[in-house]
Amino acid sequence: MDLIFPYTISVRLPSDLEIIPSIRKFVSEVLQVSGFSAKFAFRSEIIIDAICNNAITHGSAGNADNEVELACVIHRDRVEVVVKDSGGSPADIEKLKEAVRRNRLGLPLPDYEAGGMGLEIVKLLSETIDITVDENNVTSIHVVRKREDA
Amino acid sequence: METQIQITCEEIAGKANARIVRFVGDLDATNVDYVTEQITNYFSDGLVKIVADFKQLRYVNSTGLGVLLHFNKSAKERGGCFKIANLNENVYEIIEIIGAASLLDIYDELNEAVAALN
Repeated sequence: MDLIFPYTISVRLPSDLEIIPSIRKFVSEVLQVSGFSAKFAFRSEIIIDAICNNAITHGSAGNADNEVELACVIHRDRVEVVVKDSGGSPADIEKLKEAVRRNRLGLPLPDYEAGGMGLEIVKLLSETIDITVDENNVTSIHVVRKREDA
Repeated sequence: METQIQITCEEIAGKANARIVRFVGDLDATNVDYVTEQITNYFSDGLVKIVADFKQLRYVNSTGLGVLLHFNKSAKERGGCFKIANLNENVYEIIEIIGAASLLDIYDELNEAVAALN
């Protein structure tokens, strides 16, 4: 297949965990069609699952009417995943920033806070992870994962 | 929405308080409550030695990994065990990356896990 890179998949999701399995599997299949390995696709599935889960659970303030935006920019040598939500409380946002900042590697697993393990896995599987919050309180997580042989 | 995981249970000859539990599908945040209820019911029924067959378990996310650690701990607290066999390579790598491989009782083959039951 002669795909032209980069290209973007973007979708607005209802704030409902039940939608995540279908979305993560869809992206995984697209990545494999785009020439990425099954292992790369699986690991990307884990990343998308974790950050969408986090956005829905902590960034939507329990309001199913809130939406989460997912964009995957697929380059020949890497994938960028961007997830935006707009319902997080200031405390949730600070907790998220702290979780990204802190290096919890080496801590015993029982010390992970509930829900914190997903973000740790994302950090381990990605090259970079950044969080920005705009003036409208829209929280954006930007993750980059490079192809293994890039 | 229909859960994306199926769990079936099989007796083990000569081990009254043990069962092989086969997982089929994906273990994630959408079905951990269902899985937790099933396994907790086994524990409550005195089936405290569980061999989890993951041959057809395609995917585990961090939430699923959390409940596996919980089952391991709960089984031990009840004098039993929660052994895992037949993991696929991708699932094993996630368990290993997060440092849980040494905390879980993992076997390459199902018969090895069954043979290791006391």
